[in-house]
Amino acid sequence: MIHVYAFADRLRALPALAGVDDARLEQVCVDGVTTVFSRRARPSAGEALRADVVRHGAVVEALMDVAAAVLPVRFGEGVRDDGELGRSVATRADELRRRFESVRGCVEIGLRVWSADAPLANAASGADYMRRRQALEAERRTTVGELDRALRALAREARVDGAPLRGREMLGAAYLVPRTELDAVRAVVDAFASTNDGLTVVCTGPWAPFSFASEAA
Amino acid sequence: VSVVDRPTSLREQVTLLDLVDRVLNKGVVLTGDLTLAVADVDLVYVGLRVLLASVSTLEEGAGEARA
Repeated sequence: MIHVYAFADRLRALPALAGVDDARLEQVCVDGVTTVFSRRARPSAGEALRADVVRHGAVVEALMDVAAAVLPVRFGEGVRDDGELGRSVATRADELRRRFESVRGCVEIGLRVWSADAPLANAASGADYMRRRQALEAERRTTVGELDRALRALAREARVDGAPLRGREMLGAAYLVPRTELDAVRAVVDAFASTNDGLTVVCTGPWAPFSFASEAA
Repeated sequence: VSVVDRPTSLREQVTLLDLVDRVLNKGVVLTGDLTLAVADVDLVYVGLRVLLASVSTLEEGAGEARA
């Protein structure tokens, strides 16, 4: 089977790095879209999965340094052979080329915000629960909403996690940020974190644009 | 409290969780034929080494903290 890492625009050279199973990285160009892949005998399973996920991420990350734009492919899908790979790319080449333009010059920044305590866990009554839940919603809309809006102003695109927020989680989002705006993003997040001691703010990146690799549904 | 003020171990765990979330759940979907069960995510999370540093790489340059 064939393990696909990413699609790349104007790839200058393959990274000096082995793929999953220590296989040699390969590339093929179809309709102006370069696919980076390696071959393997069987899919990831059991203990090897951890290392394989890290290797996949490392290859994608390395590609960011040697291509004009990178669209990561989700880990864990099997493409049987070169023929299926070629057909798969050809059917989506137009979309991939549009996405290259959208992510060019940008990196992804991940952001998660949690309230420090668990306001709903130890409610004394049903009414108490509802009151606390309303307070949490209000804080979510105002405080965290301001942070989200400030980051959207710096970002080319933003995607909020589709999954329902769990427990203390107040925001889960990804921002597609031009590299030139990274300092500004950091300043916004640091300022927010330092003035909101009651919140846990986790900002990660810069990542390859995993969350922006496909057009919005 | 910003994550950059916290101990490295937690920072690495969080960064790793974010990495795994991205690698397994995001990105271009080729065939939809997942060869990986979602339940495997927990297995990945525990004890994995950090691949990318967190927000600190914004000023240090990506790649420096690669494990």
